Amino acid sequence: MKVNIKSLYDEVNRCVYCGFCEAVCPTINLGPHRGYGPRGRVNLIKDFIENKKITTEFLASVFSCLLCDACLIVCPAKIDTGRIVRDVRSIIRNEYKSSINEKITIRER
Amino acid sequence: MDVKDIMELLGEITIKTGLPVPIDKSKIFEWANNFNINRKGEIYLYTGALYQLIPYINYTVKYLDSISKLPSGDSLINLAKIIIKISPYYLSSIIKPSIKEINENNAIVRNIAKLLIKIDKNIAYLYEDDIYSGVLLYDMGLDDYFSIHSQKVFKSFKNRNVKKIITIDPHTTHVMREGYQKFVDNYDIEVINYLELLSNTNIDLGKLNKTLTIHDPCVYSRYENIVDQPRKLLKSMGIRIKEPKRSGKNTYCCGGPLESLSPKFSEDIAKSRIDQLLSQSDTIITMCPICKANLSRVKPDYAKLIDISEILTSNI
Repeated sequence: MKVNIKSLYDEVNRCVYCGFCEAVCPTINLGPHRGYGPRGRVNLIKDFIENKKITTEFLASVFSCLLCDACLIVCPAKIDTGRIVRDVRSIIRNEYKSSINEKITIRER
Repeated sequence: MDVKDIMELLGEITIKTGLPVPIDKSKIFEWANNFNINRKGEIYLYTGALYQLIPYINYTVKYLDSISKLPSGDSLINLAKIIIKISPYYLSSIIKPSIKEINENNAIVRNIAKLLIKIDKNIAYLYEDDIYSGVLLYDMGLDDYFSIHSQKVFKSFKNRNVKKIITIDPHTTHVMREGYQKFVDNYDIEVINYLELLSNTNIDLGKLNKTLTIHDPCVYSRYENIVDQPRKLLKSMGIRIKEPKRSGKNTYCCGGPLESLSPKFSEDIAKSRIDQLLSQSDTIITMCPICKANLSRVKPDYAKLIDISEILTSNI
């Protein structure tokens, strides 16, 4: 199965930056930046799809997600961040594995 | 520890051994020793091995995390990667979780099997074909490994003419429905979860005078829509259910999925959750081996964590 990047992009593009998701996410208060919450994840993923650039913050954001989907319940745009993050992990693995030289670590605040 | 190392080790071990940790396969079906369950039937209990594996997985993760923190940690992890590529079983002798934890989890599987046999004595068990589902590979996006592994599992089902399976935990239920559907061509296995199955029967579980707090696993409530079924079963026993502020569709994660990637994150989330649960009652019901293991790391001594199957079999 190959992840459909176009449909992923359409979904993350629906984010209206309302931030309701940040109120229910268990990881946002533990990390050092907003990429540790759903709104940050969705928008870092959007930026990644647009610019094809992998940053340390982006990797920490994608791998610190619990896939718990608490954010989906409150999202007015019904963005399924859990499933999106899973698919983005797969894209990183399949297409960018050899270009990631630094360690992927989840940083505590 | 570097997330890339964890993923590489997990993928390699699963492909080489069929399990995410290098242990003897008989550990998965040892719960069925001296238990009377058929080998052949129309419907099969498929545990996906998660309950049985959790003590081994958690022990391995802690072990790897502790060696990665040593001054020569990077070299030791690289050595582990090399050893696993040669033969993962070289590492099996160092994986020694507590026997108590192993026995407790085997007892949960046995309790679930008891419930299934009570509603239909023809339900069969896969024994050596009760293979790990590969759900951790799927969740981490290790699709190259997951694709190979899921096809192996499907092939073993086909060899045994399996058409319908009963799953017993949220993660296995979800991956057998969604993950396998995406990765395995002609996938046609009907998947039913045991709580769904039991709640559709008139099973008489007897009565139990207890007040309990319920902890919904995220994957049951938000991915698989299993919220009412466990409540219906508990209420049929006269049990008083206390709901934490975050429950049902709005449940709060136990932190377990991050246990291998960031033990500190995972523990902090578990602490928040256990406080929410204990504000309702001292006894908490879990329905997932990952939730139970992660919450038990942070629970105070007076609190009790019980898998729902233990409650449902109180009178059986």
